[in-house]
This record gives sequence, C-alpha cells and structure tokens, in this order.
Amino acid sequence: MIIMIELRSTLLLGNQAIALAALASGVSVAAGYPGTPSTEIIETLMEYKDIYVEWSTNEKVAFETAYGAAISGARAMACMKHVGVNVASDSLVSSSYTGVDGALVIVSAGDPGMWSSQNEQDNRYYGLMALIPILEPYDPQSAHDFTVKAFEISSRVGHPVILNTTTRVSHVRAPVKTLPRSSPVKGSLRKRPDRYSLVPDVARRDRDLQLERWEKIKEELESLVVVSGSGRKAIVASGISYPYVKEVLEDWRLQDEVKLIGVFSPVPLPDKVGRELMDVEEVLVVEELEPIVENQLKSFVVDEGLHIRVQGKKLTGRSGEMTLNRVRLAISKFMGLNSEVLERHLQPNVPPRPPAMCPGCPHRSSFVFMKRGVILGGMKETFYSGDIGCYSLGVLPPFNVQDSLISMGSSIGIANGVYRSTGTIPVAVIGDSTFFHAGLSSLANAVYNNTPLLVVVLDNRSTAMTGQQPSPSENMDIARVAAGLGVEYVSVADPFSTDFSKAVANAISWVKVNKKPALLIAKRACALKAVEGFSERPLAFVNEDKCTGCTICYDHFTCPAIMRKANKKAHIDPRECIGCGACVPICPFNAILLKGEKPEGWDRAWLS
Amino acid sequence: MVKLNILICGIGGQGVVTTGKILAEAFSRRGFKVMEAETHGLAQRGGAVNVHVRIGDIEVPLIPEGGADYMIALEATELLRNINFLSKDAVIFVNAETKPSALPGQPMVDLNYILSFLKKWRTFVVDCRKISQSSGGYCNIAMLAYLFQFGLKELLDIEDILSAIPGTVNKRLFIETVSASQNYVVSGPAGI
Repeated sequence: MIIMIELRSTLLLGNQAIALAALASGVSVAAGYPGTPSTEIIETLMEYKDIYVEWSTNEKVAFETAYGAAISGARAMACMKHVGVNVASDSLVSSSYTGVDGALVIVSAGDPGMWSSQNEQDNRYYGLMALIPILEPYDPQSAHDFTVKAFEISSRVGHPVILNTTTRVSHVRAPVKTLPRSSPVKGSLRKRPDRYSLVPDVARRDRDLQLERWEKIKEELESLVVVSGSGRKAIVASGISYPYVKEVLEDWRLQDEVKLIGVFSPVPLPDKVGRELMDVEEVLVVEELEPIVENQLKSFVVDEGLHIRVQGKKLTGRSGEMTLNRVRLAISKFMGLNSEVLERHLQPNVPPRPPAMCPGCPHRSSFVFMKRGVILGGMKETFYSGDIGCYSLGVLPPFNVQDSLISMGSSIGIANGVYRSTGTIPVAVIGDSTFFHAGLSSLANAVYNNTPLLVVVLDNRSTAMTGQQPSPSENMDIARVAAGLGVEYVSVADPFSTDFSKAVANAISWVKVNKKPALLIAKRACALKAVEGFSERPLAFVNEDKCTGCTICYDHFTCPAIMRKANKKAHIDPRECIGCGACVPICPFNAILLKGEKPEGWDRAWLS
Repeated sequence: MVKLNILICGIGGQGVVTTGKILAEAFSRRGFKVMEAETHGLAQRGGAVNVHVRIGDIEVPLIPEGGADYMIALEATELLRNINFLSKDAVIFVNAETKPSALPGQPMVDLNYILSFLKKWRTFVVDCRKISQSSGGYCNIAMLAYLFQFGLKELLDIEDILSAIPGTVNKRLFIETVSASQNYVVSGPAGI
C-alpha cells in the first residue's frame, strides 16, 4: 500500500531511482558486488546508515545475504550485473522453491551492446527457468516505480522478483518523481526447516507451492500491460523497446493506425497481452536481445488456436541494444511502408581508441616487467590466463598478456586446463577483488591437484574498474590467505621496480623445480585512488639530450602522458602526468627524470 | 522546439559525462523533459566516449544516426568517429587539439583531414589548449559557453547552466567566454 503524497521531481540516474524506491519500500538489508551497470544502486544506499548495506565478496554471497534476510521477514535487495546473476544462480533458482517471508528483489543490470561486459546474455531467461517474475523498466521513472512494484509483489506473494534493467535505464539521467522513505522492515528469528531446508521431501512440497504462487504472480502482473491505438496490426513492445516504438509511431503519426501493447513484465507474459490480440491479424514483437516475449506469445497463439502471424527477431535483429533506426526499419517492413531509412554513411579513417590504463596504473608496469620476468625465468613462451578487471586491458598491444578471459575468477581454473593439455607452465593474472570473488576455490584446486602455474595477483587495494569501490584486500592479507590455502611459494613485489621481473623469474624457476603453484603479489595502489588529495605532485620530464628516440616509452610502455614528438623523441604532457615515476625505470638511457619533491605521505598512499 | 539532440564526444577523462550532466541539469531546471545517456565502467577509461542528451518530445535516451542538432567534440578525432550522428543542419563545436590513441603505432589524425569532412556544417573550432592555459578552467566549460551563445540561449537562461557548473573557476570561465563570444560575427564555418 502506498500513500500518495506530493512528489518532487529530481534529476536522477536510473540506478539512483532504484535505490530511492527501495528505501521507499522499506528495504532494510541490501547487498551487491560492483559491476557495470549496476554499481550506483548499492553506492546510493550506502549513504543511509540506518539500514544494512554491504559490498559482498561476490554476487552469490550478496544474493544469499538478501535471501537470508528475506526468509527472516525482512525486505531485502541484491544488486548485480547480468553475468553476476550466473554466479548467484545456484541459490537464486532454488529460492523460487522456498519463496520468502519478507520481500526479496534482485536487480539484474544487463548490458546489451556489451559496453562493459564479456557477453550480453538476456537474463529474462532466468525468469523462465527459475519461475521468478521479471519486471522490465524503460527509463529512470519506471525504474523507480517498478522497484516499488517489485517489493509489493514480492511481499504479497512471498516470492523473489527480478528487476531487469540495462545500461540505457541504469545509466540514463532524467527527472524522477520519488516516493518518500518509509521505515525499514526488518526480520525476526524464525525457524521453518519444513519450508527452507530443501531436502527432497521439502523440495517436492515446495515445488507444488511454487507453481501455486506462479499463478498468483500472473494475476499480479495483469495491470502492467499498457494498450493504445487499434487496428488489424499490433506491435507488442517490451521494456525499453516500448518507448522506442512509441517515439517512432509518434514521429510518423501512426499512433492511431496500429495497436501498441507495452509489456513491462515479460516473464511471465500476462494473458492480457494475448487477449488484446483476438481481433488482430499480424503482430510485431519488439524486444532487446532474445525472443522471450515473442516465444511466449507464439505459444499462446498455438494454445488458443488463433490465426495470427507473429514476427519479432526476424525483423528486429537479435544482438546489440535497441536504436531508433532499428525500430524504424522493423516497423517499415512490418507496416509495408516505403520509408527511407538513413543511408548517408560517411566513412572517414579513424584509428581505434579502445579504453586504456590510466597514467600511473600499476598494471602497466606489472605487465611490462612480467613479460621480461617470464623470459628471465627461462620460458620462451607461456599462456597468460586472464581475468576480469581493469587489467583485462592487457589484452591490447603492446602488452598482449590476456590469452583468455571469460568470467570472474576463471584465470586459475583455465590455467589448470591449459597446463594439463599442453605441459606449458601458464601464468594466471588476477586482480585482488576478483581473487576474493572467485579465485579462492580455484587456487585451492591448484594446491589440491598440484598444478604447476604462476598466479600473479595484481593487488591495487581496490575494485577499480567499477569506480574504486573497496576490496577485501584492504582487510585481508593475500599472502597469508594463499599461504593458509597451502601455497608453498608466496612473494610480494612492487611492480614499479625492475626487481619485479626478478620476482617473476624466481617464482617461475621455483614452479619448474617443484611442479606446484606459486603466487606472486604485485602490490601497488590504483593510481586514481593513490593520488587523491595530493595537490602538489612530482612531475616527470624528458631530458632531450639523453633521449635517443628509441620508442620504448611511448610504443612499449604506452602511458597516455608520454607523447612522440616529430623527431621521435619523447615528450611528457604535464597535464596528464601524475608524477608516479613508473616511466623512470622503463627508459634504458635514463632520460626520464622526476622533478619536484614527493609530498608527505606519497609513498604510503601508493604502497600501504 | 519539438526535439533537441545534443551529442558530446571525447576521450574518457575529458569531462564528457560532466558536460552531459550539466546540460541535463540546465534543461531540467528550465522544466524541459530531458534524458541523458552516459557511459560508465571499463568503457570510460581513456577510450572513446559519447554522451547523448535529448530534450523535448522524446521517449528514449539514444540519438539516432543523422539526428544530432549539436555536437561538442572535446577531442577532434572523436568527432569523426561520431560523424554519422550529425543531422544535416547540425552545428559543431570542436577542440582543435587531437590526441593519439594509446595503442602503439596508431597515426595522429590531422585536424585538416578532420575539417575536410565538415564543409557542409557550421563548425566552431576551439583552441582548448589556449583556453585552459589562460583560464585554468576546463575546456568543456568553454565549449558549453559557445553552445549556449550560438545555440541554446533562446531556450535557457545563463543562470540555468551556471547553477549546474561546479567550481568558481569554471563558472567564471563560462561567463567570460559567453561575453567574449557576443562579439563574434558568425557566417559559415567559424574559428574561435
């Protein structure tokens, strides 16, 4: 029940709107793992000190934290990016069997177009698989409103609900009218093993109850269908595709010639959608990514024996995010219009500009010295098993040190497989936050099964890629953790020092002799975090008399602050340089120097 | 005005997101419907970035190709990467400075090559290096001032933008750039 009082409109990111809606719904426990585009939800909630909010070590723990609270009667939320749901899925799928006493909302933030992700999987499939309803907002306002709705449905039915957002909802800023906060709904200790302990007898009973709740959920969702216009042709549009279709129909003044049905709960598809199609001959389904609504609608049409032609992915395409031009093209074909979709393409020659590691990023130095260390350790080549983080950028030239990267924590497990099939000692490269996220069990496996490999943990004390969130490495010493797991060779080195190469070489020599895993920690803070608060910094500059134009600093180290001059000599842009000094040991001719004193606390900020 | 589409492009770290946010806040303050689509996360680190700002009778956040009425390019090469977003009457504000890609061995793109594609459009070439050296402020603020002076001043009050700009140095740079640009006579492609 919501009491409507006067609402203010504020310019908010979709993610901030979701956080404020959760507060308005009485959330008392929220947990997540940082991941674009979901991160700002937990960041916003962290400002509220009267509820419990945490960055968990991974999405599974975050989900279980929220679930534990919700089975105790609390209103709880777990937030993660779409691939994070894969990590949480073991518990998530079964949570639909037990249901919850309080309310449980899972925010899955997808990334169609893969702006910041390894895939663009459509998590609405989780709804179909786990029988968990999916609400699909289309802008910051609906993100707010559907979050409130998700909490309402979850607490009324006692079932988890997924809010499925995307980059273009979570990271869009627009005016939002928000509901005021309500008091947090907390839990109380209750013990119901007959419901919550899924041994086979309980699970079978829960399965029947799950299916009963599923029917109730369908009724709850009937109100989330919006219908306008009329005609023999209908367009069914789901989530963000609804406003895309709306804008195109308005631009072309076709609003009255076609029936438009907006769907905001694609799973389960409300029967109302099918009922609206009884006098329609042809349907176009517009949705991002997979044919979730399309296939449910086709199944409805067959079940009801209707003669309706349903088209979707064939006209809209299956990959990438929705755009106005894609929708224009699909609607023109569907409506048989002869509209010209813009084909005026200029094709200038533009060099690629992928993301780059920041000036002062310790990963750059780690990679340069790691490659030297591998050679120094007597290996002609190795397999660099990569992982997810800023250091994924090591896949690019000149580094080329991520021969695979597929999911959080996968580096060590994949390295095991590479060794078992090739006999080449691999190097697994993993960040500190990723190490605690999903690297621990694979490191235990390497010890357990005696995998000869070198694990290099790039410990920058931060979950940097998503915006320098804290990392467990702030509280836990990775060297002690590794030793505790039974890794016999553990060492720590500073990646800014040429000694880092020797540390890599020594570790590799040890692995060769002992046929067991070794672990080396490259310890230096994320540059963005280290230089915070220092107004006076040293500055690197090039002594042109010594610079020979050898190209090493700008072509093989590639700090964005180092430029190539017309005469091939190097120049350091003082506007970009942060004074870290990482480039000083890179120059074989000692032509790069630092000027200015290190401010008080500078080394501590980088190395502690 | 029915709809207005403004595309801001540049390199992650140049203030592309901040520029978009300032515009969104300014239009929102004036009571316009506004949507602004940002790029976060890995995509933001020193790579090519664009931000879409849409105002008016709009339903979705992304500008279609051929739909941008104004473009602010905080780095000139990035203008070329986004050139197919320009509408035929678009007005462009571009930083004269180009920056090489961090990838080794990539060529620097010459400003004249970039400008050779822009003959159809009214283009303001802005000397950002000079502006940031002389004012200590950020060039994106000067670009916003030109956009205001040569585009948005019928729609917004100077106060709408000023209230969204962080920091006194930047506020001063905005005011000074607006008042200086009142003296420019604009006809065809212009240099600033």
